Amino acid sequence: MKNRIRFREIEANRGFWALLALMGTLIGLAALAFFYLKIYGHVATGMNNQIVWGLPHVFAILMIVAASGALNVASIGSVFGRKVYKPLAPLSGLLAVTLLIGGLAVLVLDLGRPDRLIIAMTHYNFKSIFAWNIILYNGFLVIVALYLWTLMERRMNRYSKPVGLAAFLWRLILTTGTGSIFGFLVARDAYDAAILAPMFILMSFSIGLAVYLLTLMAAASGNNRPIGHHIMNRLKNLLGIFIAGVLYFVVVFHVTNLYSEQNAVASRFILAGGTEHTTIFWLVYVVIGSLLPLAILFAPQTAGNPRAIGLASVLTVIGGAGLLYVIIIGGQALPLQLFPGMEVSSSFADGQVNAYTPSLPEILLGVGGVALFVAMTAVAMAVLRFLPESLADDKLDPHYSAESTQEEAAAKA
Amino acid sequence: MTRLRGITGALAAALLAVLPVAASANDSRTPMPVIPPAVQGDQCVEETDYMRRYHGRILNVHRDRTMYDGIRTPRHSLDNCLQCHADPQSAAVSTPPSPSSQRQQDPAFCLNCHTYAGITTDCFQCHATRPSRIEPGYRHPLHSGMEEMLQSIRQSEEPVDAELLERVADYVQSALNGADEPVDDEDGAPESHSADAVEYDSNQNSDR
Amino acid sequence: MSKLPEKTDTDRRRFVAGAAVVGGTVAIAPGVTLMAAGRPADEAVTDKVRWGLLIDSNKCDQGCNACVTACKAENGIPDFGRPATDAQWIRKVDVTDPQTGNSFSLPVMCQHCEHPPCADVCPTGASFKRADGIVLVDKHICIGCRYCMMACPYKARSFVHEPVANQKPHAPRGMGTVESCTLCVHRVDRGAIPACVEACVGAQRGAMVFGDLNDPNSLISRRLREYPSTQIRADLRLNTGVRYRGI
Repeated sequence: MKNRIRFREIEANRGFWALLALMGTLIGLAALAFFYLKIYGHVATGMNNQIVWGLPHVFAILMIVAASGALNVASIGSVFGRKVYKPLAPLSGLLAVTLLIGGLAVLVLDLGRPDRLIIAMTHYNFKSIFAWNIILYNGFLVIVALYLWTLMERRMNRYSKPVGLAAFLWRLILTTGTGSIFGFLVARDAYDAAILAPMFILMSFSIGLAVYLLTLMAAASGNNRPIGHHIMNRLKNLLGIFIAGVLYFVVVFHVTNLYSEQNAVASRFILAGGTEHTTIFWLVYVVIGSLLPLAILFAPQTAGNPRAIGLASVLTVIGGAGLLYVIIIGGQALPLQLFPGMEVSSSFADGQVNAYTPSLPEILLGVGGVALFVAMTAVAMAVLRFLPESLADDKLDPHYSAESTQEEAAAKA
Repeated sequence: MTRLRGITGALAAALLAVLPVAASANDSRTPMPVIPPAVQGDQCVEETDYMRRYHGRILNVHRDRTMYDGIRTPRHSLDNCLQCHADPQSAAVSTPPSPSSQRQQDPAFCLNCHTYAGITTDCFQCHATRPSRIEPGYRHPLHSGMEEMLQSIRQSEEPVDAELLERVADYVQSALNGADEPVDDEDGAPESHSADAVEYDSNQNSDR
Repeated sequence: MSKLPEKTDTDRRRFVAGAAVVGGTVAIAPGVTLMAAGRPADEAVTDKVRWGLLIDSNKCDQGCNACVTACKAENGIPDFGRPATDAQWIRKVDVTDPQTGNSFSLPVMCQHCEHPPCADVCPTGASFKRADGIVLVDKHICIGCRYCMMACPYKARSFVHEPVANQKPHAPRGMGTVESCTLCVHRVDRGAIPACVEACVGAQRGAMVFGDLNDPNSLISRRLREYPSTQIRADLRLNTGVRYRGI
């Protein structure tokens, strides 16, 4: 092929080292937080016997969900044969791995007995969706690593399609599994809905793509590799569709809940309960995390602006975190109904809305997971060739001009 | 070159420092773990050699039986170990470890050896470090129920030191045949415990 | 052959002696079941027995906390004065019907389900149900993920949030693992009744009956047959081992 795409490492310039230093500090703080919790126990967190999963789980699940979604770009290239996405695939695979490792690190370090990780890897209760998730996560890392190999080693290129397909299917199952962690909790009114699994898949699409876009833009601007207008446009349209898709699932979830009085309790609590979860849901998820990015992505004034797309991506991630916070912590804040319709009280917070305030060590632990992801990604990109030398439209897509004229013609028609 | 020689020399010195430990365990200059003698009695529930090698497995086997099958025979229980091996001078028996102390107090009997061998044990993060009750003059019978235990070890999935197992099997056989090995006689022997001495009494939680 | 002490027999003797002591208590105390013929201490539990509790909320007084106190003392559960994170294996719940104003009180603990959701979701299999129906945590393989606490409909489980010391030899517990009511399995195994039931009798209430649900002649089975009873969250069909009257 005349027009072979060249890949190159990112430069280890001053910005790179500054980024690494910052992330190293954050990781160090997270390590301190971890040892602090190891000594003093979870009493030093905001978690308690009512809110058993807290901020670390929001961070962890956000990153795990994003990991699966970050693979989108590669899947579109390999599985659905869109040529223009192919040069962008290696970065996509890399993000899938680093995001997952970052998320799992937070999850593991928050365990009551993180020293027993080996037990989690050797003792499996196959009835537990959690156990299946452990297998799914490990398998995902292996498959994506293989996939990266087929993408980055020329002799292996011909296997990239079947391996890419396997990775695509695996990650759909993986996110279904993550969603099912909550979907299978029959006891809790806020969960126990099969729709949580597809909702998590859509969430993974939008958050993962947003993280991908942010990484791509950061790497491009730090290395003077401007991204073509056309490819940006495609990715941002995709992001818009995904954001809208998540919103659709959230609406369906709550509307179906509100239909029956038994399930309405949970949705009413989130939508109009007057707690912080109501605020987070409407303000952070709906307005800041969904409507605003949609407006930014599609309003004529900002539609093509790369900075606007960057902002929209940031807002999408924030919105995703907000939605997960409401699902995970809001779902536990809602009192369990031992005696439906009755007023109850006890020494164990029966009948009370459970309060949760994250403590500093928890926050540091979660942020450290993100820092780990950023650092791993940066180092990998500086060591191996994940990014094309040029991200200009004509370099990425040989048929760029023809296609774009077609599109313009279609738009006029 | 000199630098390389220096490194080699240091390595050799390090090796020499390590070697005697492996080579001559009886050498008095070799640091050995201090193993406090049992507070009461002079014989363990099984042969000492055997206990040294397999106490971990015995405890694990008994642990699973207790937890899953509700078998609470005192012989191989951790509580029974503490009866004789918990050090009365240490916090393990007399004074409780302070609630604020982060490192749980181990009976020195376990800790000394485990620290020496570099094998962590987290038993006492959850388990009591004091026996349920101190019985002056408490004695347990020696190597009773060996067959049953051998059976369980043979069936266990972990690899077994075949030679030692055979030795123990021979030992049991000789004991069963009434050979000259010392065997506590349960009936009539004043040092063996009576029924009510072992019976765990619900009202016995005097430290409440 | 003959010289080796017959350990089995002595264990059995001891066990019977222990059961006899309990039997003595039973004779004075109403509401307490006499154990069926004791299981020798060296024999594994079987599913021929299913332990259960019947709690009569009509006899349970709102101000009485005897069962909770007894549980804490028996199992060595400290009170750090931090109610949000302190372990509670059993708690008193006061319930009021807002429509009628009728109110009642009852203790809630692990319901020892036949189909325990905690055991289903546990990734390592640390949460398990013993053959005789008692739901326990194998703290040797519990990694402290708290998924069981998410799954339990009864909030029966507690996570050990801080370092503990001075554990009871029969109730090991440590930071970073999840725990819940064991139905005083260490007492049950020697033929005694759970501490809460004993305390309820001691408090002159007799609101709790402990016994074998599989034995049609046990007091608990007879009571369950004679009077209506229910399970908390019966809609989940978990077939709990703990049943309630008067709710």
